[in-house]
Amino acid sequence: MDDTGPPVPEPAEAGEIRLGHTARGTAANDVVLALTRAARSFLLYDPSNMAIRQFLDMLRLAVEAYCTHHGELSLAVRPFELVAGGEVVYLDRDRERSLAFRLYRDGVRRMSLRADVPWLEVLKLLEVLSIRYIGVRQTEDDMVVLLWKAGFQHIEIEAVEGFVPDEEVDDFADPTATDAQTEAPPTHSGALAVDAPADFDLPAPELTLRRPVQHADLPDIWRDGLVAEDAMHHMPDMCLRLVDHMLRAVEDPSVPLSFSQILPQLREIRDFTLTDGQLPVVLEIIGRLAYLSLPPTHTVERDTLLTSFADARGLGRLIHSVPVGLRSTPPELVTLLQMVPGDHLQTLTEVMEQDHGEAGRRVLRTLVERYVVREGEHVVDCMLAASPAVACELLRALRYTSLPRAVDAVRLASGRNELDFELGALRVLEAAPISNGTTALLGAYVASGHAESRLWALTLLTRRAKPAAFPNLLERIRGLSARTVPTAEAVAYGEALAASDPAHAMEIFREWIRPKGLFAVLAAPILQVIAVSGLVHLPGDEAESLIKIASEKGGTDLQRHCTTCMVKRRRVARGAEQ
Amino acid sequence: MSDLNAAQKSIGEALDAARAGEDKALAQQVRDLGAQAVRLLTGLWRLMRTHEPDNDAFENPTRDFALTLVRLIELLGPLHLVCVEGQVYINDVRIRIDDRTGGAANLEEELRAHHSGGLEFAQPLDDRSIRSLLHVLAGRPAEQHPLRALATRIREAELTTVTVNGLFRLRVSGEQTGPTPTRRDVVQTAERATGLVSEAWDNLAAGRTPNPLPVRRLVNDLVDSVARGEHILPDAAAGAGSAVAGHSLRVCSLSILIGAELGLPPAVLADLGVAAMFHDAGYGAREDGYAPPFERHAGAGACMLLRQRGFHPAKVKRLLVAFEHHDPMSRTPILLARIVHIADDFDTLSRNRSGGAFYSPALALELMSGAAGTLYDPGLLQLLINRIGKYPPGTLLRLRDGRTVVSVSGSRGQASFARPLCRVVITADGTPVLPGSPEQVEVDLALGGGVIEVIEPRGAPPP
Repeated sequence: MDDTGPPVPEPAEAGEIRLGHTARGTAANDVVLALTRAARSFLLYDPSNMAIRQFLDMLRLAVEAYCTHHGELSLAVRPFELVAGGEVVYLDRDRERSLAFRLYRDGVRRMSLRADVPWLEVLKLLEVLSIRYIGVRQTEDDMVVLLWKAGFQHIEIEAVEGFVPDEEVDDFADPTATDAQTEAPPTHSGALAVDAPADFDLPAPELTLRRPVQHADLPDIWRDGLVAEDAMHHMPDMCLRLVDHMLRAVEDPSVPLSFSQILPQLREIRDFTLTDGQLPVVLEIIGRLAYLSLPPTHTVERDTLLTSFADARGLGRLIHSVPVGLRSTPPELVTLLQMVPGDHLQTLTEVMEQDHGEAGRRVLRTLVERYVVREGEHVVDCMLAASPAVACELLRALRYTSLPRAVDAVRLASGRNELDFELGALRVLEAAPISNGTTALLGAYVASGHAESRLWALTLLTRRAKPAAFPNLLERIRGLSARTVPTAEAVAYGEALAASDPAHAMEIFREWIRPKGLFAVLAAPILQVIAVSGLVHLPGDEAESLIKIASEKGGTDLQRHCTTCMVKRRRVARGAEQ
Repeated sequence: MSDLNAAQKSIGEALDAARAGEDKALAQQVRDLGAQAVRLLTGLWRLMRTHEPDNDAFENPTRDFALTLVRLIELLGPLHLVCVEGQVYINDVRIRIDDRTGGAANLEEELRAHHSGGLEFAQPLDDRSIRSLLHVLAGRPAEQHPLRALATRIREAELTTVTVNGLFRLRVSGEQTGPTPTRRDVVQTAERATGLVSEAWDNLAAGRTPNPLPVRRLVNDLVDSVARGEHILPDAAAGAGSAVAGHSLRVCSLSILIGAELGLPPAVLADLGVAAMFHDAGYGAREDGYAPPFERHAGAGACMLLRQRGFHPAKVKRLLVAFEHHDPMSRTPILLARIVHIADDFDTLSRNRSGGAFYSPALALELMSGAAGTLYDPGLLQLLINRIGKYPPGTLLRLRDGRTVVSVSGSRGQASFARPLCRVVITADGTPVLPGSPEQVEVDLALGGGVIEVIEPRGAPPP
């Protein structure tokens, strides 16, 4: 799950008034505010956001607290208010935000939560409210239908289920009126009724065998099996069946159904199966579509549809459905990319730009890795153009698949100065074979604007111990301003100098600690820190005596550093002896 | 925290599903055009108070109102404009009206003066008709029976496609008109259902986008009735509306009965009911001016249902039912299609036609039973048999005492499986019993009385 985004639930907002004069009223106000914020949060945040989880937790606590202390919560719904036990417990006159207004507008007039309402029912109620909060108006369900379908056992909803003639003022139903006058208002508009032929739905089935009927009880296990056939998890298979029917009908010249007419439904099924992560079904659909025999006028539509299964939107849906714990790339996903034409690398890069969580990123990266061998340059181009996060992922894919290509990418991306990318690049250079080229690249990262990158680059240079690095390091050190170099970095500089060219380093350190000449000027304190740090790793008595000199001449800080270095040096020496 | 994570995920998925089922364009069009229609109607109404109908000031707003009506009717079919409790609905879609213009309240107030709560437009109106209508509406309400007077004036103005309705009030869930449903309630429900189904069919035939929501509400009522153990066998609506609409309603009711016997949850029963209601949608299509033949009605039906936009599992099932509701068992149709197949064939074999029914309901059931396992799911068929009994409602029986009765109840349990509640239609001396006459008594065969034979209809055998 993605945990980015505002982690702290919003405080009470303008328009939302804290209400409740009694303990019961205040507790009811807590429940209603928690319900409102939780429902509204789906409008503001991605469903996987941490903030939503906190709103849910607040709702649960508020409902538990109310039900424990006060029992049933019965809310009368007015246009802008919710009233519990005659006390107004919610008031918000902002139509866009008001829970009361939305409930009232959607026909809800009373809502009662029984004291033993289970959390799952509260969640179901929240689900229905959230759907209306995000402003979705489905063609199939309205709020009343959704509430009906929820089948609440512990929540009672009184809702408007449409309108009925007001019998108290029924002008047409006057018993004294004459026949002509009492002509009732038509229940049907009087539009032309469909007039199917008298023999519609014929021929009737040919049934020749007559078998007497009798009552027979059927076992529950049989019923359960049949009921299970309609379970939601069979929906992908039902979609596949529907695709089969539609395609067969399109191919049958006697059926008046064209590909254009089924196209919207195919798109909807595509979106559903992709969002639901139903890869085997997706592949089946693609296979059937690919082999569909169509007139040339429709092949472009078909090909566009096929491509859309693996476009950024389609793949985005698929990747979004990847389970959190998934460690490997589903083979069907690879097959999907093989079956559908298109510039998948570019698409994968676009999908990477969306936020899909760690599992999704991992799957995307492994998919990109498949393109490195054949389209390495293209991957590098994508990396150069991508956002920092995606560039890191692409560089990582290159590193796992082709280290030389990755090093080349690092070289080409020398202008990218985001910390994450630099760290990714350093990981590449760490894994790459030692060469003058990689050493030079590491030298460039010593000049990075990020201390973390500089330190790591220096550490890597120390490990590599290449003399070629020395001149650049020295030049960099000479350009340093004392105030900008933290001690840790100075230590790293010293160690890198000592490792890359020990003899040359000794000369330099000597010059910085014990300058020659009558009018010699002591090196800057930071240079002395670097020198002492480097001397730890240089052999010979001179190194030790230079540290002592630095300690005697330097201030308190340098003295403390020299003591540390001396201890370290002896430990290093003991380690070397052992 | 894991249950919160699960809850978060589940609500996220529900929201995604809801978004997928949305037809934003259609909803927005209805809201925009509806708001425009209400504003124009209110403005024209005010204008009529100060100007003669032939004044040029009407020209532009009348033309705009006419165009708006055309577009709305193209989109929705017959237009039902209802004002209730400060809100305006057009074909059940609540229209957002800016309160500052006083649109909703004004229109409601103006209509209320006539004791009216709404208008229906079956067809678009031309400029002259709109002016006539406004002239009538803006006239002084009659002191006695203003609604009836308004309806008369509209009729006199030859505005035959405009209907004026009485006041409405919002119906709240769980509300009943009385302590128990009366015959009048049943008839009203049947009429409402028939009107609604007929209109849904008309809309399909006119090439409009299917709107399953009103049908779904009706089906929900039927499902609730079954849950309450009420009698919903569709005899009340048997003769109402067009033949195909009546057939749809009966297949819907029978399908819900079978589904309920099986133990399907209410939400699935509702999906089943709506699917059954539209299973023969193909006959609403026109090929060169004629309804498609039997062989092509499934594809034609799917074609009509496919006009609805937005993914919804119920729509997928509805389409599958349209395609598969005549498939034999060997083609493994989906559960809902197998149920609708049984209900469909039972009605086809036993319903009244102009030349009479093919078979009595009892014989239709026995013949279908002979095809259990090949054409029909044997278990599902047995559920229907258990529910409607050996002599299903509508079966004419000759009793040992010489009377002829018609079965009016389904099975009331294993013991009364072959002993339904009946109503006398012909006395022992051969005198027909008129409906509502004192002789039309009920005979409960569970209390006694034997059946000699089932009287088969005189209709020609099926082709």
